[in-house]
Amino acid sequence: MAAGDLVLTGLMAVLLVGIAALLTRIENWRSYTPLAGGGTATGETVIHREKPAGIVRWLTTVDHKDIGILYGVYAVIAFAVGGIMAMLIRLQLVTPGGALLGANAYNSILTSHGITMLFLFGTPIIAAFANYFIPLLIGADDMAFPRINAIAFWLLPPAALLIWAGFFLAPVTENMIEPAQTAWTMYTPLSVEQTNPGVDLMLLGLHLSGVAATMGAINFIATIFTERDDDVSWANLDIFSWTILTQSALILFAFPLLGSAIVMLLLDRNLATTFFAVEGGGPLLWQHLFWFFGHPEVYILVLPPMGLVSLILPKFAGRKLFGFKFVVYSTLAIGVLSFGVWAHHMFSTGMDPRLRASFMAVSLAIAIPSAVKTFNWITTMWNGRLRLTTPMLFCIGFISNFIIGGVTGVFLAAIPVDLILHDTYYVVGHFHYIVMGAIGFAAFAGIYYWFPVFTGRMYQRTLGKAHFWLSMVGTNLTFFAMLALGYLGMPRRYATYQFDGAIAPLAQVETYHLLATAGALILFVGQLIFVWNVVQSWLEGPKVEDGDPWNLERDGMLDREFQWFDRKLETTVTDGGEEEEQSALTGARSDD
Amino acid sequence: MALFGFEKDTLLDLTVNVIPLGIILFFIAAFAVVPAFGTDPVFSGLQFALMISMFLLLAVLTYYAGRAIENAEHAQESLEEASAVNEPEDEVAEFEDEDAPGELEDE
Amino acid sequence: MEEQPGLSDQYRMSSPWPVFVALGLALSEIGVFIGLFPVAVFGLILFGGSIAGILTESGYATRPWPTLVGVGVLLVLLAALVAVLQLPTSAFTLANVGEGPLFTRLVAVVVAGAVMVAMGGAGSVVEQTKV
Ligand code: HEM
Ligand SMILES: [Cu+2]
Repeated sequence: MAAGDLVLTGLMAVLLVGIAALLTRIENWRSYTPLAGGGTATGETVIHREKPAGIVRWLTTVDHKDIGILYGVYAVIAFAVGGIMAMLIRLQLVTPGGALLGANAYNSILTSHGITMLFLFGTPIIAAFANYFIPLLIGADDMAFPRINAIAFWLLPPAALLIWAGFFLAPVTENMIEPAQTAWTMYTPLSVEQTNPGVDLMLLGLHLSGVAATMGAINFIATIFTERDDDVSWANLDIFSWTILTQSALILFAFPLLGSAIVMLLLDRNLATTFFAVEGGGPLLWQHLFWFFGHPEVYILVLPPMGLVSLILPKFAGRKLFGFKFVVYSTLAIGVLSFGVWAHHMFSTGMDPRLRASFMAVSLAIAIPSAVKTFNWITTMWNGRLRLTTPMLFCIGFISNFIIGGVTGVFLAAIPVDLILHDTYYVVGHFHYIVMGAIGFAAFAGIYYWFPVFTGRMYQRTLGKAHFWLSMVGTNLTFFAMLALGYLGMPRRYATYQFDGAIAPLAQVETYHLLATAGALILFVGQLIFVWNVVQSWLEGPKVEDGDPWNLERDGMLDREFQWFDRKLETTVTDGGEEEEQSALTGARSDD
Repeated sequence: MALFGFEKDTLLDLTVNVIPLGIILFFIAAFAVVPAFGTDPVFSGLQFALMISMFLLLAVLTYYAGRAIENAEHAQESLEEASAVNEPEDEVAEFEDEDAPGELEDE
Repeated sequence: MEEQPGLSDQYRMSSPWPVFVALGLALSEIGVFIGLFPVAVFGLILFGGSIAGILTESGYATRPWPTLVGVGVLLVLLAALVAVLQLPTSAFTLANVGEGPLFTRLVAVVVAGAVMVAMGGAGSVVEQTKV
């Protein structure tokens, strides 16, 4: 122990000295003056007026567009990691006895898959769009607090390392530190009793990602309230900004609560407090706290994608979003009501039937605003001049999948139905229709729609369409099979299913598991194509020369972000056709 | 028609949130009239507290959002009136092209 | 929005501090919660130092030293508060450092705070400014 402490001390000291040395090399401490920000382009301050080159630029940037790209790259990497975990899960389940993994490995991977997708892919990919495009859409120079923005992003890489830490540390510590096997819901008492320090590391990672989300949310609220251009008012604020505003408010109420609950859990685990012990708050307290965060979290994840679809779909339907205000008010309604439904995840815990009934009532009410949006999207397309571009295809796929995900959700919100389907694959099918079929699809729609803006190039259309169709078929095959498995009675979270035929008919269960795995393989191939398309097109795709690559001008739907893009293209051309990096490097010479 | 001081158009927009409010109200009434699980001061209290608080919060937020948007619209209108021509901005695109809706055109 | 296109590209758009604020917070959390004394101390120092740095850089403070002292004092007070509220007086012994799980963690926080106060003080003296 003492030797270990000594080594750690040495390591930390070297790190700290190294950081101090690095900072003194790249930073001129004396140049800090109270006039920072508005300074003139003379002498030392010139250094500060441009972005440095290479990797340093990305490590030090506080530009909302750069940070947006960082979030995007981070999210796509997390999506790949979570996706590989999903493939392992699906391959495991092709045979009833399990094809690949032991029960512990299965549980570890299942846990990490859920947490990775929700916290390291879902929230960051939304932040990527929001960071890049909200300031452009509302006509702001940057976010209200650019540095806090950067801090929020940089909390995420350590968060990911901590969440995955068990996988790296298990081999070097002879399984003393293993990946957590708590499932993403981390239910007590299990999560208190597992002594594995990997659980602590994961909880800390989650906590950091929560801090990051909260900082981001404060920043977005401040930006949308205070940094709007003069001619952007509440009456003509775009729909994506409305959904981000609502999402940020939800984050502000939900994530600090998760953070506190996690700290309580950590204290229970490490300092023998009794928040969730039977003699203290009781194990159900965790479930209440977790779901009071958890249900808003699902809307935190789905509202901005709804905003993306509401923004993009009209562009390729040739008409304005039908009932724009309906969509705005119903977004706000979802925001409020999402805090009054959490116990629909706990119907089977034996809580008081009167309370249960009231949670059912609010859960049924919250379905209305979601349905309203769906009708608005469909009506927008009705008689429109549809252009089935890749982003549009993903928007339509979103609607289709969201309908199935939403309707199955309403079924689950009915207590008698839920008591039968709870903890079966039906629930897994329900939320995957939404998290993959809707949130994932909206993210793809956004990536393709704005690809010209953030890369200056065009993606390959055929590959984009292949990506869509493989994703659409794969998603529906996989998750529809899961709904069927749920009806058959297959319980969720099992590494094997060699159970007694009284629980579920084994032969059919096996068939549906095979179908689900086949669907997952199709999905996987689609995502490979996506990554290839993005990377190759970013590097070699044809340069976009028209500031209006989607031909939106003709319908009067060229939003501010594309107008900004157009202006940027024009300046770059007059600058001598160089890329943004180049012109930024020489940017200091410019006159202001 | 100036319910809560809103214009007719705004009121129409706000109906979208009246529906969930109505559903909650329906359940409040139903549970009050038919207490299928008996009444209990704590749990019935919590039951109604949850529904009533959701009802009130949604009503209040809807009201203020409606206010904010209506005020912003007024501010804009008076600006536009002060300036030159203004044409109705809505629902024009719909009639522009009647060509095949499903056409597989890719930009 | 700026009317001159490309203007936003000329703003000061980099800062070395955010990465280290984040790293400092991450290390502090690991150190304090997992109970790794050196990680807690150095993490907190990095965190406090970067906060002092970033506030100075962005013009909220003229010099970093007072912030550093402030963060240090805050940490010491916080740890003392928790200690007084949660621990019996018998726990406050030198022998208990490294033994009592809560006490050791609080000592780590106090040490980090003390180092920051010292660093801030030394910095001010060297620079001949008042704390
Ligand atoms: C239309 C509104 C929705 C309703 C009424 C609804 C209802 C439900 C219900 C009752 C459950 C609990 C099922 C059970 O465990 O027995 C559930 C689970 C779940 N729902 Fe939904 N849902 C809706 C929309 C969504 C959305 C938009 C998302 C995601 C963004 C989502 C994600 C989830 C997740 C992740 C779970 C599973 C949690 C777990 O046990 O691990 N739901 N939903
Ligand atoms: Cu829920």
